[in-house]
Amino acid sequence: MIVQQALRYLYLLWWLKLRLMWRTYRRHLSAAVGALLAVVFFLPIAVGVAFGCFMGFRTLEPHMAEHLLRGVLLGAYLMWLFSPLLGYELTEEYDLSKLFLYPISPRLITSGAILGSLLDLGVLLLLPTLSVALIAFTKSAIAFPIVLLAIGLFLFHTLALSQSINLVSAGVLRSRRARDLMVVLFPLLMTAFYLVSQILPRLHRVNWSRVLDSRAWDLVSYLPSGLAARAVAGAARGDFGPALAFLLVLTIVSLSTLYLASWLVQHIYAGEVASTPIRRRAARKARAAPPPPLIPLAAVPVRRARFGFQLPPAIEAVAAKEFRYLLRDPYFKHSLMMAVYMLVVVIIVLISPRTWRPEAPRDLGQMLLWGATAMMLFMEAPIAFNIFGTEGPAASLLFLFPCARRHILVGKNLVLFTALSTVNIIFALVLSVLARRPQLLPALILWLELAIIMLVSCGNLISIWFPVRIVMRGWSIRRQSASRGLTYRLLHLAIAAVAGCLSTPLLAAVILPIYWISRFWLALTLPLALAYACTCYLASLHFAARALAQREIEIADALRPER
Amino acid sequence: MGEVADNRTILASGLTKRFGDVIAVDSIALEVHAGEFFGFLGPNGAGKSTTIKMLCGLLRPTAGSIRVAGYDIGKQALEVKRRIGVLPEEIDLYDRLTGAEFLVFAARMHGMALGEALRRSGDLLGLMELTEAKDKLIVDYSLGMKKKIAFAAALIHHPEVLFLDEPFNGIDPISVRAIRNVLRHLTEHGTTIFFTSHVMEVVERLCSRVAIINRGRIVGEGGLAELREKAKAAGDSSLEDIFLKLVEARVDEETLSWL
Repeated sequence: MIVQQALRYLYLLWWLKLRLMWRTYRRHLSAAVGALLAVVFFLPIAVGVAFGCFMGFRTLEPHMAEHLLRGVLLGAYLMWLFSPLLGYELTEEYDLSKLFLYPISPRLITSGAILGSLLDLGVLLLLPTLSVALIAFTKSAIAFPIVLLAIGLFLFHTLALSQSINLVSAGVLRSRRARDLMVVLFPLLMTAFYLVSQILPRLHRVNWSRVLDSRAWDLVSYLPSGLAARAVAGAARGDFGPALAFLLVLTIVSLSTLYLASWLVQHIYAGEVASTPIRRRAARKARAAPPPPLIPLAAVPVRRARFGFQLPPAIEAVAAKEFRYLLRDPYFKHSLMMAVYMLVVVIIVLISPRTWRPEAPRDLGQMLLWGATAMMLFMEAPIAFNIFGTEGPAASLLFLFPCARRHILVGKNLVLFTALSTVNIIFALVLSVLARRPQLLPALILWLELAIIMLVSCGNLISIWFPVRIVMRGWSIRRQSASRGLTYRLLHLAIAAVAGCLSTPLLAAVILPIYWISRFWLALTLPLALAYACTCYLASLHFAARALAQREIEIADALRPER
Repeated sequence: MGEVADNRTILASGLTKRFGDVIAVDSIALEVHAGEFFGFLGPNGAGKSTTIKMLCGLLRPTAGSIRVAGYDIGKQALEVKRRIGVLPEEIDLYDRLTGAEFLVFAARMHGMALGEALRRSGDLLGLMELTEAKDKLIVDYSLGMKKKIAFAAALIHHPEVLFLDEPFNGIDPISVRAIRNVLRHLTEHGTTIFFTSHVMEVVERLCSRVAIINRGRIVGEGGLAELREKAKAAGDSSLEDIFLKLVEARVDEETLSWL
């Protein structure tokens, strides 16, 4: 009776998950298209990995096949444990805490969530690899249930543990500060990984057989992924005693994880577990600090124009707001970190002895230098091409203000130009030194500054006609919807190509006198290039301001969250 | 001031909004006079927020014309926006600015000098009891605090017309009292207030005139006495009774047999 009731509830939770997923796809065609695109992109990879594993399991020596299985399961295990850090949630469709209104035990709620997650794309893509492990290691009829149970328990335990980590870290990981930190931390980790993967193999050759025989690998293989692999391999070999022993330990571990996850779900609902230490500290600080004194009216400083010239208040206000957003919004931090990542990649290429080997083309360093600036500008284009993206729903508030629309654009452009210039100057400085061409630094900076003006000019227009809402998800950026995001990415590529064409005269104005004519010609070409860039900017500002006044309702609508 | 000689601050005629096949607002006409505290009532989904959005230029009407403070919202949107303050139902603020920064930003966007912007934002933060939280990012504010800071931003340029969509939702009674006093002060000094709320008591106490919208159409407009007459309600009937009658709400007295 109890089991029947439990099964009925599990079925109900499964139905709820399925229905909510289906509704999401039906309501938002973009979500369906996004899921479809994800399947199209990731399914061949998942199938490819599964096929590679299958070949490995079948052709390798049995003990090596076991090592491979341990490695594969360990990879999947670690991926799931770190998934909360990537902003992935198992139960995206429904909020577990809502289920506490009903007479269902926390264990059933957790089990339902885990079973429901079998419908999630991430889990579905793991299934081909697990299936081939089942096929490859089932060597006899008795081995089949052991292998099946071991793999099933491994999956159940992994999802339950991922759920637990997600729940226990929810308070910290979903706090604004932690999310902001993650945006910086993840690209840094990626950069570090790239550096290590590039430099380590050159310094030290990895001896894989020594790694597999090491004590560390043996200990790592006592993690649940290893327990599952040992049970599977034992059953395949016909060593049913050890296989059952490992299976028993795995069962205990899995049940304990389920209990842990249920306990966490229950206590989080009661508000006893998830908390943000940062907030507590802030609260203590707030208590300790005396309330700030009110500024006496007479003491309010009124700023005077320093150079007899002052920008209109709206331009200053928008610029000040943009500058603060630049420092605080994770989107900008993410973009900046991507620039850092790009810089590191170029540095690795530039310091590589292969770049400077005698048979390499004589001008390779210079070519790399100019190529890297073009790449950098290409990476900066998404920020310039979507200047309203980070406004989000606050765009409707921005457009309620009665200031001239030109002032909004100028305020945004000023900050964008300053920020990109700063990044590019540092970039050019580092690159010119590493490429052993410091004499090219002024030319590089001039080109980059002129190109930013062109980028901003194109950006003003495209931002008004094709605004896309930017959503930070974990450490990654997500456009409002996958399908629109993809369309806009293609569109941005096309506009980047147009901006590239429009920038060609600017590049020519810098490099023609340096490489092919005479540097003295720069005295003529640079003012002409500046005049050309400024004319393009003023024209774009004129048309963009007019278009903005007409399209602000549509822009605000496009930047509102999808329902 | 606007171009019209009369004192009609808000004038809408034939105002219609369609979303696909759905008619959210169906050819309504509104007249609100200067210094009036005008209540706009209606059940959920009646078209209140859509109307407010159209009146303040956040939504383009499918048909009809709107003049606010003497200016046509379609042709002279900036002139209208210079004169209005808006507190929308869904509060979308700049989450990554602090409360104080946001108020200064709003003031500067209305063309105010920095000194004046700082002075007014300090005063408003004090009035809304947000002085202690002024350096916290808005993303860390509670819903009530967000509402108060949005209200302060709507007031900072001393607008001629104030649009308030459910202003008291989620705000504590102390702040409600403070806001109510401000609103009363504003109407006494000529500010027009266009106000929606579900709380009938508040509307009855504050508003000089009321319009009731149901399924996109105005079903009653005027003072309490006029509405009573229109609804053919008893002389002592409350605004709630009149409202229920005009929107033809069915309030079942009986309960379900199994409940």
